[in-house]
Amino acid sequence: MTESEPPPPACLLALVSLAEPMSADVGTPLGDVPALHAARYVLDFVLDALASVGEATAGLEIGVYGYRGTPDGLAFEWLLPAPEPEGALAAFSTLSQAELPQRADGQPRKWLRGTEAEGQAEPAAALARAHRVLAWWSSTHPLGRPPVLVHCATADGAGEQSATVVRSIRALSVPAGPAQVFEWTFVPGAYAGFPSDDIWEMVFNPSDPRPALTAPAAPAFTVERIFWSQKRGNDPGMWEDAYAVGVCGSVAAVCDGASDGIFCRDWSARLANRFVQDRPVLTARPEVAAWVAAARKDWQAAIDYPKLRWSQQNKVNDTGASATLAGVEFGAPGADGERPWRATAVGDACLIHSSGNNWVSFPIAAADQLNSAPSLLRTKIGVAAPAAVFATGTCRPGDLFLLATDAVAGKLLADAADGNADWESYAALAPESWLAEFDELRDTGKMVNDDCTLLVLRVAPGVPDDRPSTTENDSTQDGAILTPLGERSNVDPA
Amino acid sequence: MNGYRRMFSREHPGCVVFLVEQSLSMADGISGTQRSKADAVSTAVNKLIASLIAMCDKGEDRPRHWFDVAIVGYTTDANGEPVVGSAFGGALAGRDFVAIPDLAEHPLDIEIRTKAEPRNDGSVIQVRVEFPVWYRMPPEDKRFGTPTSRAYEHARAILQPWVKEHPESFPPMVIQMADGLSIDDRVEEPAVALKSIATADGHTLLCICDVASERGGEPDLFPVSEEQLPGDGHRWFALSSAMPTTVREAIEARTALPVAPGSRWMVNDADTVAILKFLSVFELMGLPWPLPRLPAHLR
Repeated sequence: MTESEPPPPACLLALVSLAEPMSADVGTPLGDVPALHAARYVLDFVLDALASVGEATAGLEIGVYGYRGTPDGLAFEWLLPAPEPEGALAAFSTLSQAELPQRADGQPRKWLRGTEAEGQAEPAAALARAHRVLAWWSSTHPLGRPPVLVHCATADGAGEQSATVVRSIRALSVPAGPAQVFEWTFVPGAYAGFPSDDIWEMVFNPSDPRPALTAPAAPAFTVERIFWSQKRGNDPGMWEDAYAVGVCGSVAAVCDGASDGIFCRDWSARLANRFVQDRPVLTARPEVAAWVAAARKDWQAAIDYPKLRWSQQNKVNDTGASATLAGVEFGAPGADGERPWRATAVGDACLIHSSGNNWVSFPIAAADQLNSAPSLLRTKIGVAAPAAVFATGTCRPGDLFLLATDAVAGKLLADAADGNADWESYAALAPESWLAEFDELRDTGKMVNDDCTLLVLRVAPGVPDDRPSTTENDSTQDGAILTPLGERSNVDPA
Repeated sequence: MNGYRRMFSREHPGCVVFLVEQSLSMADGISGTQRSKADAVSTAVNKLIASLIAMCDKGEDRPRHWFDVAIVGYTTDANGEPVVGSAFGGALAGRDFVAIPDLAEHPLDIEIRTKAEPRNDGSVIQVRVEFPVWYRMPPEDKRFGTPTSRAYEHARAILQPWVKEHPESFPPMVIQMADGLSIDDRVEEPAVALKSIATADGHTLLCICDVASERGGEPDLFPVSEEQLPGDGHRWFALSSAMPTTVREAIEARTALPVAPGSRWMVNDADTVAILKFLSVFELMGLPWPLPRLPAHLR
């Protein structure tokens, strides 16, 4: 970066527990104070410091939220001056104009609103909200620094669920690297330190750039199961989801055609197939737009627009087809057998990576987040292309990857929230059992009557690969594809 | 208000009944313009039917049977006798309900109309489009009075067997397109009886579009109170259904139309634009219920 270039966009989101346990005293260099005061003081200190560095914060967006559990659910409060911004993050340049209450000389100004520590600790729900904000920010700032989350809380309420969300946040990535999380966990009576430098480091000296994937010489995974089922009451030919698996075993994708579109089955199948063939790097909206335009051209040829009846032409013009996408690609393994993976998502089709007792989900961290209108890849011309969101990580032989369209993802994440995250069971499930379970869920209204698709992949033993590295976008490896189109039963044992 | 959540499917199709006033006053200009109310209403009805068909078209051999549609015209003859019944013509003449695939196959006519289309340079060009037609106003010498209560009774009579056949469906939506009420017509009781027809998912919805005659009045779309409504507004307010929460949330999530808790599913003194806004709500019906709201930062 030369001096004349503006600094890249950056994002700092802080979550402060406002729950009752935050009233307990902790040790700081300034003496013993309630944990909530310590958190406020350090964040005030960091914000004051940021305000003093001028141009370096030009692209910085900030959000500070307090949270507590209440009888009505999670209270999530904006703690900074000025009204809460729509996008949950405010430009620091405007924020720093605010008139702030002073502390004594030499102490930071009061950026954070004071509030009592009361209520329950509900870190998992609050972290899931943060996940959503950071996923959105990272998708819309592909040239940005990796986003940073600071979480100030006691250990109360923390557990498997909140740890999973934190791992899922750490998996989110922009090209400059994965998101970073600083967890400042207070222990009543213990010394808590003053971690302003750690936070500063994360904002200005981020993680390593996202590595390019080197295509593996041998399949990176085996397909354990492919489950799919059309909406109840529909024929199998009306299933509008799609999946595709690269024959070389290093890429797979699922797509979910939106139910209000036309020729969506062809569109979702086309996108899934193209994803494993093209291995597109959909870094920013222009790349997404170009990739969608190429797929749209094929789709338009396939539907033979001039020959359509009037109602179909009208619907192609007014609505067209749209679909969500979740795809995963694997790189060559290292000497230790670990291999990198990268996931791409548009909308709410989901990926779950399970490794031992740990798992992450992407791009959705909690089932209740599925209840919204997802971003869509659309055939309609003149509609702005959506931004893709990315996750990265490493995996070991035997790990599971589940790719699911939204209805199935909702069920998987809801099970996990209830403590029943048994991913391994899906690798062993008989197709008939799966179908019976999902039919019953849909018939009894416990699940939306939607098309359902679930791919279960298991990471293959890694054989380190000595080949010279190829480009990230190597499209020759996975030229042939499995496709769900054509006559077949609606459950495929893999 | 609970219910009103059933999605439209072939297993549980929905039901749309157009109740179209055909009185002589419909020949007058809409909202003080040259264009007759009859023409504005016919165009709007045909446009919505085309949208419903397109909504059900998934690119298969035929559109899916997600709706049954009725068009009921109502007026009187020269002697004041009510003339109320199916307003379908051509191959569909006389039928109370027509399923979407049959509607798609049997338009009365496909007119060629022109449509203004904006171009990239900001100019507007007129393009020729095919405009299918299912409904036409009868000739003026067949149009006299406004027997609204008889129209409600007729709608109720055709809906009773329909709900029996579709007890789990989203309840029928009756879309009334009218320009007034006779002072001596006792409409309240038949309206209540019509709205009492129900499926397990809710009561029949009476959605009223009152077409404006005079220029200058502001259309009242989805009012929450009858107080400010001019003309027959307070009567329409009493007749129309309260908008179900699921529908209101869908409107809030996907449109900029003004709705609030307590909104009636009606528009008073509608000009051409307000008619289209009112009917555009029905075009949201093909989306999954209830329509989720986009979070603020993704809108």
